[in-house]
Amino acid sequence: MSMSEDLALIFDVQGYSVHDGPGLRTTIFFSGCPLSCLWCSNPEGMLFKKRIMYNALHCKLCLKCNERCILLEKNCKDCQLLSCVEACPHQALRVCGKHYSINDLMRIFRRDRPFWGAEGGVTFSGGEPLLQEKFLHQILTECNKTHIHTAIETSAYMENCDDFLDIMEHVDFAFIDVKAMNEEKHRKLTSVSNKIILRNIRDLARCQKEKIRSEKLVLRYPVIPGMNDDDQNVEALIDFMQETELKVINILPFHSMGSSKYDLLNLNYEFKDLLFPSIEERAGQMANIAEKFAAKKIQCFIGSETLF
Amino acid sequence: MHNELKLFPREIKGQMSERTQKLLKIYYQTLSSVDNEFPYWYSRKYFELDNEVAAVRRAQALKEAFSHLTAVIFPGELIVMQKTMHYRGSFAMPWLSEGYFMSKEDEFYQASLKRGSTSADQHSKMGSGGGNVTKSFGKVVSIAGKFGIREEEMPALLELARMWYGKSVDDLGNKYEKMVPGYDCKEKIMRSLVCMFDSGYTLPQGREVINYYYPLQYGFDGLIKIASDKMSEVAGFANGDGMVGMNRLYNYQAIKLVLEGVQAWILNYAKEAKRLEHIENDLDQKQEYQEIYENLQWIAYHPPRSFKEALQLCWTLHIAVLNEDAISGLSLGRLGQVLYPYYENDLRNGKIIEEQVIELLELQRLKFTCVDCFASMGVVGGVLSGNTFNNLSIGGTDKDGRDASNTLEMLMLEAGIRCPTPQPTLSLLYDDKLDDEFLLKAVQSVKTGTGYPAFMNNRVAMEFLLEQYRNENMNIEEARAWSIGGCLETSPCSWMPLKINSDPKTYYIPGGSGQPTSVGVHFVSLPKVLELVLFDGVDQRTSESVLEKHNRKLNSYDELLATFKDYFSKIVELLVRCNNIQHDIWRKNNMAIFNSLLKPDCLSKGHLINELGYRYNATFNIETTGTINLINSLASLKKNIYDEKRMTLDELKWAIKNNCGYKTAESINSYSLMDQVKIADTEGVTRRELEHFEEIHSLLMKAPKYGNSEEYVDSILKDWEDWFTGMCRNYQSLYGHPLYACQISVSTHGAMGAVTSATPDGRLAGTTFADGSLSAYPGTDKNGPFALMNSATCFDHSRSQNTQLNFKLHPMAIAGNSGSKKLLELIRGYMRRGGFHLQFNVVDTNMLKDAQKHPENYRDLLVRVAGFTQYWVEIGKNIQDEVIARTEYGEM
Repeated sequence: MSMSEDLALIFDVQGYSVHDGPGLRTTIFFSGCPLSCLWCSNPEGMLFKKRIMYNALHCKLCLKCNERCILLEKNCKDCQLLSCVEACPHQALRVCGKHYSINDLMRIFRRDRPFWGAEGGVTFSGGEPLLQEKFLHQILTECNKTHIHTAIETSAYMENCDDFLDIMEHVDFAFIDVKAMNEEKHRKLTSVSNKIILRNIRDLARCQKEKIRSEKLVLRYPVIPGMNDDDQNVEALIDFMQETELKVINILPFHSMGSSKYDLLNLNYEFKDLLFPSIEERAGQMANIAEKFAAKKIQCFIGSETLF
Repeated sequence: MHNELKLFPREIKGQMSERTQKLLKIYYQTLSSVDNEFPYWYSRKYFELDNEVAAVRRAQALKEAFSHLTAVIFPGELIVMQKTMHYRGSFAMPWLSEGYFMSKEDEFYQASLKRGSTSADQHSKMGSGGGNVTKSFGKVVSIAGKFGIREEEMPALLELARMWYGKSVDDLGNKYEKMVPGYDCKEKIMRSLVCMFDSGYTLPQGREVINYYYPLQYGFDGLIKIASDKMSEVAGFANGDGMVGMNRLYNYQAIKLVLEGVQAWILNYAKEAKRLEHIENDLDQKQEYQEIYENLQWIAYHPPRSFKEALQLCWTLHIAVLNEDAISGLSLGRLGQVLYPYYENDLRNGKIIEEQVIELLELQRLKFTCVDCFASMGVVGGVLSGNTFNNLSIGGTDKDGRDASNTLEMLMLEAGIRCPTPQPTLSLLYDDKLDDEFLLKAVQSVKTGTGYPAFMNNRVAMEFLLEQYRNENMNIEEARAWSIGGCLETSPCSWMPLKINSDPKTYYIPGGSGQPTSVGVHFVSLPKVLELVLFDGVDQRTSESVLEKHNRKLNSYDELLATFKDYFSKIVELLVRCNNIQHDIWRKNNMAIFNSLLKPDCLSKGHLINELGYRYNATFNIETTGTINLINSLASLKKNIYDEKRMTLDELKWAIKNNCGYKTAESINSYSLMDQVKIADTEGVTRRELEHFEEIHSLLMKAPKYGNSEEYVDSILKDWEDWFTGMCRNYQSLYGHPLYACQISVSTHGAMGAVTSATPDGRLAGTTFADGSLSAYPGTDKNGPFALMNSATCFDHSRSQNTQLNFKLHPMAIAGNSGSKKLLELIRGYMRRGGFHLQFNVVDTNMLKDAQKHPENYRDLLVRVAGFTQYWVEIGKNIQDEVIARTEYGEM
C-alpha cells in the first residue's frame, strides 16, 4: 500500500454522526472554505489555518499566554505558532485545526468501523472538503479500496468541473448546498457567485442520470429568515431541480447553535441582534416550503428528518 | 431572537391504565414505612426455642412471623400482597445487625461506629425527596436515614434490637473476625472507607435470580408432601456423608415449616379478600375481591391454572423470599419465558386478551416499585440509591441456543413504556440472533428515558459462566439459562421442565440455581488505595495510618504500580478472611430456607444453601469502584512524574494535600468537578503558591485520559484488568471456590469519592468518581462515542462478572425511526466488539438542572444511575451531580 505523507488540515473528527448520511458515521471536518456564509455554523472552519478559540469563562486572566507569546500580539490573528495555547493552565485557549495524514485517518476509520452498522461510513465535511482536493482524492480512493461507504457535504464550489466530477466519482453519497438561486444574492450572502456551483450540480446530475457514480445526490437548502426564504428563491430552486431532474431536497431550518463559537473566535456574529420568528412560526414556514416542493413531486425532508 | 431555555422532552411516552394510575398516585403519596410485626413474632419464637437445631429453630421463627403478618388489600389491586401491612413497607432484621438503627447516643451505635460498620452511613447522601423519610416529623420517627416508623413503635424496636445484641450475625461475626491477624487494620480500612461495607450481615443474599419453578409445578401442598416423603426416606441415614448427611432430616423439617408459614400468610390474605367482599357495596369491586379470594385460596394449595394465578404466585414467592432475609437485587430472571406457557394457553383458550395482560404487568411493575429493603443508610443511600434492584431479564437464547424472546416479553416492554417506574428494571440479554422487531421495541423503551432495558452481552456472559463454574460442571446448555441478578451481575441459572394443566408439552423454563453474588469483598475504592500508596499508608482525610508503611521511594512507574498491587492484595486478603467469617456465621444461624427450597437442587439433595445444596456455589467476588479514576491517575503519574518529569512526586503530593488550591466539595455543596471553586489568595495561601497549584493541576488535567482511544491510557487499563481479574482467583470463598472480579459502582462512587483526596488525574477532593467501571470521567471523553467504546473494549470482558458503561444521549440524537435504528447499530457494534454492558440516559441535561432547582415539578422523572433506574428526587445530591456532569452525546 503506497500512501502519500501529505497532510490535511482538519478541525474536527466526530464519531456518532447521525444526520450526515446513512447509518452511523464518522465525520471529518476540513478546514478552509471558499465561501463565507453569513450564518456559517462552523466558523472555526472558515479559514484554511489553525484557529485559536478563547473561552472567557475559563480564563482567570493570569496572562501566562502573554508571557509565552513570541509575536507579542503583533498579527495575532495570523499566528500559527500557538505557544499561548500550550501556556494556558486553564484550558481557556484551544486550537481548532490539526494535521492528519492518510494513515491517521485510516486508523480512525478502522477504529470506528465496528460501530457504523451495515450502512454507515465516513462523511467528509467542513469547511469545504474540496478545498484540500488532492488529499480528499487520496483518502476517498483509500476508502473505496477498503469498502468504506463515503459521503460528502459540500458547496460544490470548484473551478474545474472535470476535477469535481473526478472527485465525485469516488463518493457514494452527496449533500450539496444551494444557498440562493439569484447570483447577486448568492454573492451577498456567501461572498461568491453561484455560477460554478450550479454548473457543477448540473453536470453531476447529468452523470447521475447516466449512472456513473454518485447515484445518490441530495440538495440542501438552508432557509435563512429574511435572506433566502422568499417565494422567488423557492420557485427558482424548484425550476432548477426540475431542469436537472433532481428528486430529493433537504431543507434546513435556521439555527443559531454556532453563535457561541463566534464569541470564542472573537468574531462578530451578524445574526446576533436580529429578531427571528418564533420556533413555531418557523416550523410553519418550513412546512409551507416543503409543500411547494412536494407539489412538484420533489421529495422534501425538513431538518434532521432525512431519508435514512 | 428566542433565547429562552428550551427543555427537550423525551420522544416516547406511554399511557398506563386508569387503574394503574390510581394506584401509582397512592405510591407517590406513600412514605417508606417500617413496623415491628415480623421481627416481633420472629424474635419471640426464636428465643423460645433455645437449643433447637439451628435450621428448625429459624424455620419455626419464620413460620411464626409469616403467619402473623396483617393482610391489607388496597382497592383496585388485581395482584395483591406486599411485604408488610404498609403499601411501601419493610422492617428491621435485628438478627442480622442491630447497631445502625439505634440512636446516635446509644452504646451499640457507638460500638459499630468504632469498627467502621457505620462509616459508610456518614458519607452517603440520601435523596431528600419522594417517599424517603429523612427527617422525623409529627409522630413519625426517621430511622436509618430513610424510613419512617410510628413513634409508639420505637420502644418495641429498641427492645428487639437489645434482644439481639451480641447475637446478631454482625456482632457474632465481629467476635470471630477479630481473630484474623491484622484485624485492627481491617477496622481502619472500613473506617476510612477504603472498602465500603461488610458483606455477611448487610445484604447477605441477593444479586441472584429467584426460581419460581417448584411451586409453579407442584403447588404448596405438593411441596409439603415432597418434604414429608423425603423425611421418611432420609431419617437416620447418613448416606455416606459423615459430616452433614444426617442434617437432611432437619432440613426437610425446616422446609416443611416455612412452606406452612407462607401458606398461612397467603390464606390470611384470602380471608381478608373475603371480608372485603362482604362489606363492599360497589358490585365491580365486590367481584374483584371475590376473584382475589378464589385465586389466593387456590394458589395457597395448588399449582396455578392461569396466567393471572401464575403471576400472583410468582409475586408472592418473590416477597416471601424478600421477607426471609435482608436482600437487594433478587431478580425475577426471565419471567416472560417462565410465564409464557400460561399466557399462551390462556390466549389460545380465549381466557385473556393482550390488553388485560399489559394491565396486569403494569400492576406488577407497581408492586415491585413498592419494594423497600430496610438496611443502613450507607447501604440504602450509598449503594442502592433507594432502589432494590428487582431486575427482569428478557431475550437471550433458549436451551437449544435459539432466540428465546417471545411475545409476552414484548408486552413486558410495552408495560414498561406505559408504566415507567423504577422497578422491575429490564435487562436485555443481547445476542445477534435476537429478532430486530424485539430489539427495536427495546430501543423504543430506552427512548422513554427510563433507562431500561440495559443491554447485556449473552456471549460474553456465557464465556464467563463456563469458566467460573467449570468445577461445578456447568455446560453450554446451562450457561444459556443465565440471567442478570441484581443490577448487572451475571448469575448462573438452570432449565426446569414445566408442565401445565392438560397441555402435553414440556416447557423448559429458566430459573436461578446459584448462590447470591456481589458477596465476599464489597467495593474497594481504587483511588483511595492509590492515596494510601502515595502517602505511605496514611489516610489524608483522617490522618490515620491505615496500612503499614511501605517505605518505598516510588522512584519508577514500575515500583509505583508494584506497590499499588501489594497494598491492594493486602487489603483484599484481609477483607476476604473477615467476610468469609461473617458469611460463615450467617450460614450457621441465619441460612435461607425458603429461598433455598426454591433453588435446584436443595429439594432433591436435602441440603440448604449452607450445605452447598445449590447447584452453583462459586459466586463470591471482589468488587471495585473508581477504576477509571485509578487508570487516569496512573496515566498522569506515568506521564508527568516518570516519563516527562514535569513535576516531582513531592510537588504532586503537596498539591494533593492542598487540593490543588481548591475549596472542599462539601463546603460548596457540589460534587461535580465542573463546579469546584478556587481558594482566594486572601485565605492563607500566597499568590505564588496558588500559581504553582494551578500549574500542577493544569498538567494533571492535560495528561491522557481514558475513553479517547489512546494507546497510552488503554494499555494501562488492559494491564490492570488482566492482573486484577487474575488475582481474584487466588482467593477462596468460605464455600471453597475461587473468587472473581465484579466491576460495577452502583452508587458507591459518590460516597467513596466524598472521602478521597484529590487524585493525580486532576479530580479534586470530595468529588464523585466516574460511574460504573468503564464510563469516562465526565468531560474527558473528547473523541466521541466510537472512541470511548473502542477504549472500553481494549480488554477481555469475560474475565469479569460484569463491566458497566453508561451513555447519556440527548433526545434529539436518536430522534425518529431512523434514530432508533442507528442506536441499535451502536449497541450492536459495542456488543460485537465484546463489550458486556451498555445503558442509556436519554435526557436533556438542562432538564436535570431544572429538576435540581425545582424538584417539586419532577416527582415522576426517572434517570438511569448505574445498573438501575430511580426517581430523580430519591437520589442523593452527589449522584445527581455526577449524572448531570456526564458527557452528553447530542445532535452532531
